Amino acid sequence: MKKLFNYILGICIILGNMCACQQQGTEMYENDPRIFFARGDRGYGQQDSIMHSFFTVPEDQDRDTVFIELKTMGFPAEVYRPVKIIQTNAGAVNAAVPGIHYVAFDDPSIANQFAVAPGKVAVKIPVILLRDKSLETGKVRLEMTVGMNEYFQPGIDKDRNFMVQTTAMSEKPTNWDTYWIYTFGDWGSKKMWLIVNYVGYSNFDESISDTGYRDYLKLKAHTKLAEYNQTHTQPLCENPNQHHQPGETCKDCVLFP
Amino acid sequence: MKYNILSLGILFLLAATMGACIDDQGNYDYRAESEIMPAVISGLESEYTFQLGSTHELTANVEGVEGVENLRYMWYVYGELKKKRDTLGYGKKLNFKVDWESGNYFLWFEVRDTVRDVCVDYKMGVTVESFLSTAWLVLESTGGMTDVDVVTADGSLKENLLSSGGQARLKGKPVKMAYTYKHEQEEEKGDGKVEVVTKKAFYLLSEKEIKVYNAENMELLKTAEDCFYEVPAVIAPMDCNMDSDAQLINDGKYYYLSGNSANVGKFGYAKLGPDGTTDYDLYGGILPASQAAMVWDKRSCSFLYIYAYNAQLGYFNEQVDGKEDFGSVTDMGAELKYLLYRSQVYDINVYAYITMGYGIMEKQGEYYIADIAFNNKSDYPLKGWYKLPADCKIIHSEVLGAHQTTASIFFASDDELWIHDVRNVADVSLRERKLFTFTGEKIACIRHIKIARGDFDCLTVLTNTGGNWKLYTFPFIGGGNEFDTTVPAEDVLIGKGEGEANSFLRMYQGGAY
Repeated sequence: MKKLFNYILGICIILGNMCACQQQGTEMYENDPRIFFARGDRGYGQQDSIMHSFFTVPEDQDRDTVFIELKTMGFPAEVYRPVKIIQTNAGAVNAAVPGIHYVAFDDPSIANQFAVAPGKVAVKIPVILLRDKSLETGKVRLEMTVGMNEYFQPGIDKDRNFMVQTTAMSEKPTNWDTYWIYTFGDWGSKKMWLIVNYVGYSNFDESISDTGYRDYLKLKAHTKLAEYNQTHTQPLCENPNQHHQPGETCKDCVLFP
Repeated sequence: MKYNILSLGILFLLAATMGACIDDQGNYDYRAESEIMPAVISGLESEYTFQLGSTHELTANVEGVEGVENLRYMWYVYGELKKKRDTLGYGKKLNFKVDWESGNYFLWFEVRDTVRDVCVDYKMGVTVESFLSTAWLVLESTGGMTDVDVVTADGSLKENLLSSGGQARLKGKPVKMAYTYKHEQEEEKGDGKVEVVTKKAFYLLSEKEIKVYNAENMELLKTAEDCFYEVPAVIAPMDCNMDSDAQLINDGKYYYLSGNSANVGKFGYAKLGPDGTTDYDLYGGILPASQAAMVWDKRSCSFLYIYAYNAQLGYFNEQVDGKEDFGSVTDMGAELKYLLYRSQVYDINVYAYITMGYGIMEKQGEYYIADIAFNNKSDYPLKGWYKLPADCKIIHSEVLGAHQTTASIFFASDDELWIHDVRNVADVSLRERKLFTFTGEKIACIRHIKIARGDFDCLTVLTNTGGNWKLYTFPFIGGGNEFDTTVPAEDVLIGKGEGEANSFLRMYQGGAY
């Protein structure tokens, strides 16, 4: 009985293996243009959102542009292929409002930039953010997705949605504690304001390999802080309620390493 | 049954193991290298010195491989500046142009049996020199514009290196020339990408400009605008010191560029003064140490300590108890007339190089020599303080140069070269004496140049007369501070040229002195 069972089992395995070797038909790619938000590998480059702050934009500048990269699937075309981007959180709490917080995607001034150029398989679309008074005390979100039109269908599922958040409040850059802390020390709202408006540096997303340039920024920050403190009755301090006697500093005063 | 099979298996393995160890006579057949690859290479020198840009033909004689087929003859080079092996050519004869940077390399000639993959090779040391790498460079001006004259190793003169090469002279009179073996420079490659490459470079400082040139060929690398991330409001270079790090005093402010970090050869912002503001004004002189420096602040009348990674200049510490105290170097109520660099000496007690120098100081109408010795820390920096009698000639001199190892300072008094021994003796005649007269010539620069590897130990004096310069070297006798003062000037003349010179550099064996 045991032998019979082993024979049957052996025959099943052989038959199974033979089936596995049966020739498979080749799947041919059909041109099926799709579009999706680009996403960098291993956390580098564009991910699924952009955190924007007018705090890092010079105070006299009332609009700022962020670019979002879209990639296509399928073959390049010989014509401009418009892409359709749809806001998905319109009307929701803290949703960005076109004309108030950002320039509408169909605004004539930018509409033609929402298209993939002939021969190209990617496009960077501009999202022009507007400095509204409400941003000084809050944040708004612009959630969007890729829509279908006569040129494209939505592409990769997990890369169909994107979010831009903007505010005029100070936002601690996500890489501060791993990168900028070595140049500017601990983060503070007033410190960042000084760096943006006095040092003239605001691109905290970039990674600078030239340490000489980082040293330059650091020394300039020291110098500008000294200039600020010399020309104001109170030293630059993170605590707005702290009163300083002439020449006095406190633990909340802005310092650079 | 199972047990039997297992036993047999173990027995078999045991027998095989034992068998492997029994009576192993080996099969070693030691053969001479020449028997395997009998090539004998001759006809080549062991050392070569080539001028940059020159062409050469080398021919190797190879014997002992007559009739052997599948041989490949190959020439290749590598060295400190060519870390990857670079094949120069094939065959017994090599024609090549020396287009490598000046420096030391190894050139190899290899004979390889390509079937058996065995070879014999011959190694040659190669020193590549540019005409600048062994020259005297004299910084001079004509009509208030700065240029460089060169006295090459064979004694010939090349006037006006910049203007004769179609480049603009620097605006203003000369201030200083310095050399660095490690200047980082951004270069655009063919594909549009920018790459940072390391160059040997000269910094040229004039009253109104600072420029950086390739030390191989005087190609302009940077203008003043390129030397800074943010150009200072005033370009008025006063002194610089270049080693792996670069230190600069411009318009009374101190700039530092670390050579140990990724950089593009640009200075950043000036460091702040000891009070955390820009309220300081430096004398145009630097005593450099490892990642540190000592400078003089005219505003606070203080010697200041600089550590490379501090944003601020700082004051030196007061002397610690139990050690000889010559007074604070902070708020000295004195004026620094001259800052003299001597040398750097390794101190095994503190495991650090000590920078030695002198400061000629005026305090309330009296003159002193501050004997300076500091490492790269802010420890009290004076090891001596010598009052100068009023009739010392050194007080009135504007051109001085310290001997590196003895306590003496050479100085100019009109057309005379004098020496001052740094010691406390009231009798001036025991402290100062005249050494040499350059009749009718004005002494512009005095420096002790000591090159240990080159067995070069000389006092070098630069003079001006009638719009021309002359450069002299006096070999020191026995390592001390004495030289033959009876020698005719023309016998120690290195070179002469047109222009009003103020300083010079001696390029030698890959360095500058």
